[in-house]
Amino acid sequence: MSAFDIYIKSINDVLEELKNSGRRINVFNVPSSCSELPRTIPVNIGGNANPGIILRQDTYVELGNPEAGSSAIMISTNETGLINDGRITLIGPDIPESADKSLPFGQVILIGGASLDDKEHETLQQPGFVGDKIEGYMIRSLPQNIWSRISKDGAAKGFNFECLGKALIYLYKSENPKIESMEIIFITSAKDDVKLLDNISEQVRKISKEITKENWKIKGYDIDCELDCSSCGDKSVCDDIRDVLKSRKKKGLVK
Amino acid sequence: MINIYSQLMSAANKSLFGLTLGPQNESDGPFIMGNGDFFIEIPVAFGCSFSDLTLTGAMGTGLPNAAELIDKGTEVGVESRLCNAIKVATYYLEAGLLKTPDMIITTNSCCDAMDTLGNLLNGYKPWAHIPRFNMHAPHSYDDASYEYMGKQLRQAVKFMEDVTGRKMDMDRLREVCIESNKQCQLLLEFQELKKAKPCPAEPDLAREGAEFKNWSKDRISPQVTEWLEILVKETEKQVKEKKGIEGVDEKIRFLWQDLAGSWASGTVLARLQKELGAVCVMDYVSFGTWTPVDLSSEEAMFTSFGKRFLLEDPMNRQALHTTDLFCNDILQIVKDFSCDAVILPAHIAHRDTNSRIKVVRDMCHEKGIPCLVLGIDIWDKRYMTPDVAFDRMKTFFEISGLL
Amino acid sequence: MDLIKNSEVFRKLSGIAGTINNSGIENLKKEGGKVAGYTCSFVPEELLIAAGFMPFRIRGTGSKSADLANDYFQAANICSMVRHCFNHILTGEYDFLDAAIIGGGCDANRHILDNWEKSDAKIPFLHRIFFPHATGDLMVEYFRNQLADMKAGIEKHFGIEVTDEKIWNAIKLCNEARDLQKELYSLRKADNPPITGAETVDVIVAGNSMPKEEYIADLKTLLNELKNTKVEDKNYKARLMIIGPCHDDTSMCDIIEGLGGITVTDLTCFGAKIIYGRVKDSGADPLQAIAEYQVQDRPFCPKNLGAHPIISKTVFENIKDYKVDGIIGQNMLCCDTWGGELYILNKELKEAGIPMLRIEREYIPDSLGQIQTRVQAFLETITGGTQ
Repeated sequence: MSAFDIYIKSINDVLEELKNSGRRINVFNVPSSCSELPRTIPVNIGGNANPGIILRQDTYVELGNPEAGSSAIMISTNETGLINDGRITLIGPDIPESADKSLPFGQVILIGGASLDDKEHETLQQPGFVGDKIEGYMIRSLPQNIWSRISKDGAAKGFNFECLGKALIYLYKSENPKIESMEIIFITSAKDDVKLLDNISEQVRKISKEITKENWKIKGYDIDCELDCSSCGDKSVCDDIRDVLKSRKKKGLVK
Repeated sequence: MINIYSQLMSAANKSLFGLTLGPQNESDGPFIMGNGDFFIEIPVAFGCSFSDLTLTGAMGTGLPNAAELIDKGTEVGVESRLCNAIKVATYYLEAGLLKTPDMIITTNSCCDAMDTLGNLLNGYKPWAHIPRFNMHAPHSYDDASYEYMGKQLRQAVKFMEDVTGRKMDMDRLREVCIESNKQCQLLLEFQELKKAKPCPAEPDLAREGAEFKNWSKDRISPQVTEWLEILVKETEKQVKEKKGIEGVDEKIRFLWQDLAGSWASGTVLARLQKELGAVCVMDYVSFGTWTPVDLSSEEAMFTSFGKRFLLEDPMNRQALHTTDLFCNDILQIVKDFSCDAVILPAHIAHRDTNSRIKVVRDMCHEKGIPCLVLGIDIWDKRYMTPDVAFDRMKTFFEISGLL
Repeated sequence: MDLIKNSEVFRKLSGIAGTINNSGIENLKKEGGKVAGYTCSFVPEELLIAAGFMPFRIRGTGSKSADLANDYFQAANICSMVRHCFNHILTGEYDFLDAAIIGGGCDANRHILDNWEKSDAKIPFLHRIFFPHATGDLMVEYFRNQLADMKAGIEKHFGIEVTDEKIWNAIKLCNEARDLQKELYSLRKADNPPITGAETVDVIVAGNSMPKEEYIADLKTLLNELKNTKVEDKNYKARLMIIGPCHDDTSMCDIIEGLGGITVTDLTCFGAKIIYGRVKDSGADPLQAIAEYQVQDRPFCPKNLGAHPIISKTVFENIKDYKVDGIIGQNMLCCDTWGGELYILNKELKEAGIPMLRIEREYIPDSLGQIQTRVQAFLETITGGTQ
């Protein structure tokens, strides 16, 4: 039982609502093991796979521009049964058919693992920074929302939401072995559809903040100086360290 | 690359001084004096001029006679450790140097010192007859807060209408917001490009751009949008060609988590860049999180004004809210802009930052990010001289193994 | 005024004001009672009492150093009251608290919460409440919502229900305490008050540091004693009023009164500001009543952009009612908002011919000699050096 479980139900309710409204829905069931996944993804995945910036003129499609609508949620649970492992659901148009468009973008990542603890939520959010780890995919800097670009080169290699979902599953699972199951939902149908996630996202963020608070620990060490060096009792020690470093640097012992 | 913003800022600063300190100019329309940020799109659409007295004071600290102005501000005797930008503003006010406004609009955002200036404006006897409107910027960022702030901005418009007998043309406001939205997108595009290694543009460009965006009514013009287009295009070219700042061999990228103030930019930051290859790729004014104004309805428009005011004005974002938001922004910037270190200038009068030093240091230590708390006065270089600040930062980079 | 010094009830209240934990709290805790600490005078004790807590206004009484807090708050640039209070929190002086409500009165104060959350000092329930910095219907609504959030947070955490009836009863209780405190203040209007400024500080501070019912009973006893005290004629050099933020220790009054003056009233965050007016004690919504009182009736904090007119009006009324000869305007170093307010007031008082002495000080007085010399010179200025 996780603090987030009730929101998995809320997500399913949103999916149901969109299905009932006649939205176009595509479901992909993909392999769930890290060893199989990379072979099925048409672009490179991993550190530095997308080292550069995707410029405007190199952009095939933009996702989640604030004007178009954007929302992102990550939910973890130890009730693995709540997650449909390897399922990627896309509501709305896919990437190949959206050249030069700016699509609304909702992204929901559901993570399950029997040994997962709510306290790990903060850590689990880390792979969410996938900025340079998926070739042809760049996440722009905008706190709280997700705003990204897919490059023309990436699109030419076959980058689509199935591919993005697989890449996310691979990155999360390879970084945290406790993750047993993962499910991803993308919404690109309309700004109002993406907005349906906002309230859930706000609630999840509040819980996440509470958990982060609990995780804080006091650390009693820092390397920086106080206000005024001349009045600091440790000045001579700092001066010595500085001299030692200079001398070691001269000898090429440090960079 | 031509620093378009330097030209714009120079003209805008001159115009602000003219507006605030010069003789009344009929063509400027009704004149509003404030103690802090307003929502610049509103006075622009209303056809009136607005001056932020804090900014006027801050600019005063960049003048050749800054020391004299700061000392005069201190002699006014409000509070000995009050922010020097506010002290200079207080001096301008109390010495009777300011142009008499038609309206006063004050807000508590974003810090105690600016709040104090608001009270000084409200308590200034010669202006006791001038209509005034006070706004409360809450220290929270959620939908209820944006709505609350939006309602106050709506009331501020009503106040302006009542005082002047004119009506706000909502279509004109929409027009202004459309132009403003375009510019926000371009500024954000420019910000994105600064992720490139080496950094493709002078840090001052973003800083000045963000400052200019937030207060200058001159910027809501298609001409500025065109300039921004050029800026982005030229920077894109730099990125494509993998070119960095001219004459800089980039070795260190760091975040300066405060305002640059009136002297750091041309002195310590310039020296670090030139002599050590240490580039300030981001600072908290440049870090834009702008979202477009929602034009779907009048209510939505004002609520999005509220959101921009509370969360997306850089200094409100960093000073008004929680330590968590401050820390999360640091982590995001460090990650996205590949920063090697964080400098917390901890301007002596920024009570908010000075109340967060341990939390920021601990967080950086936990994440393995070298962090230096500097403790400077961003408006008065006599407190810690640029040379001392340079030496301390150099030592810090050395000790951290970055040099 | 030796009579009051011999008063048993005064000694009790003075003892409570001079320490943090006290036997009343210990007894309350033994009986299963709960204590909620709070900072800033706009945090409503009414709501805490209604939730079953004994409210305790957090202060730094007895602190000798802020060394631990200085790791969190840059010492040179942050108000010493905040630092000393937080140091007490870190050293465990406030371990008896079951909850704390941090009032976001100023930039430093509101960060007590952020720092407390991330420190080793644990507390079961920590909540922050913000006060509007302007006055109007929207702001009343905003503060009412803040109160509703605070109430909901307490109810959820402690599994209790804070009914309207409980809040109305707490409002009546706090109004009764305020009425008695005002009665105490009015005794000081006399030419020869039966109680000094220093003694009043102790009596008022004790009111936020012990169970309210017990305080009311003690205050009634004290008032009875004071009214029956025959006060000898004293020719005071000057009758002074103290204005400014936190004033929870007697050192300033001790100096004034040691030099032959007397403090007859004040407008400070631990003094007259908290006893001002009454909260409406009936109606449809008790939270609305508290919000209206705090935002519309009592906006005394200069963090509020509309505060100056009511501060000024109250000061001039007090000058008349208490026959005040001069004002001591004191604020902590780095207190920007009170610095601004005292500056404006000073100009107005000067125009009205009322002398004012401005003192910037540290929370734990470290330069009493210097302050004493300045107060002495001030008293001489008022009296023209004739007494």
